[in-house]
Amino acid sequence: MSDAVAVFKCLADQSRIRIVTNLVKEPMYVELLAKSLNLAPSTVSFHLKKLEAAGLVTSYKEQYYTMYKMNEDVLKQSLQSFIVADNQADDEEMKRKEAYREKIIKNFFHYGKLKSIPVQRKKRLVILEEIAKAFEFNHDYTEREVNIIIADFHDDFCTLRREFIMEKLFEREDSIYRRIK
Amino acid sequence: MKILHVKEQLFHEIDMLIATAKDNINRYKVDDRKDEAIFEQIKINVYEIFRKMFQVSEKKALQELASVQQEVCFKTTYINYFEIIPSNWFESLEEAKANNDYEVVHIEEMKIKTMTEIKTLFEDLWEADYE
Repeated sequence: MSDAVAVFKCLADQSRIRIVTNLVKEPMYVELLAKSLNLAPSTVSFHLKKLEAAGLVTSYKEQYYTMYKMNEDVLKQSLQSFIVADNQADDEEMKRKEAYREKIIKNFFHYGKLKSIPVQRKKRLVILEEIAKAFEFNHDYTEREVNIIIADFHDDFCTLRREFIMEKLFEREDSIYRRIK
Repeated sequence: MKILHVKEQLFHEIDMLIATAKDNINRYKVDDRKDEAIFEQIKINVYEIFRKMFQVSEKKALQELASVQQEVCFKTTYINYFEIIPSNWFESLEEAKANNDYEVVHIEEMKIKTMTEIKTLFEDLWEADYE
């Protein structure tokens, strides 16, 4: 997602669009662009650095000048391929997260029982979410009912019940618990 | 009095520069040139700093009894602000250059350039003949 956002953010500027329009025709150096666009050379330099950071232009030395040109690979890329590429990156991220969850559950549960409550918050959240699956949404539970269900997983139902509230997996009102969607 | 003459001239010039910068900001915003609008605002901030420092220096100088001493005190105090205030900008500029932070380099160079513009303007006005 970051590449597409960086490119679009970079191009959301009229001066940079004008620079890109010029560079599409031919490579240019700062002073030439400045003259063509009626901008100060320092301003053009600033914009070129931003375009370079976003991967839209590249620079090279030619005699005394630093020339700037469009990045051909980005130029040839269609809008659709930009967005699809970033969606694929999101899928990879989801797979990584799911693999992490499965690893934590495997390490901390033994035949459905929680071996110990993780110290690390990130891991603790995974096991809380797993235990929370034993509760229905849109159902009011008394504190006693919550304790009984949690006790099936681990003896320290007090800590886990408190963690449910702190991590906003459950809400509590007048000693009645409800799982949050 | 020389300080008042220079003040009138300098403030007129600074106010014109601020007005131009504000016009540029409006134009750049309409044109979707957000970065350049921000640069103009930075210039305005620098103009306003040194406009204020003139008044601070003037107030300090007026505590002196003789007018000649007032002028010397004022000029020394005001010029000193052109050293003290940008000292952080120069440090920040060097650090940005060392870290290839082109955005900060551009901003600090712009602030220093704007400060120099005001300093030169003041010195030219101060040296002018008010006879």
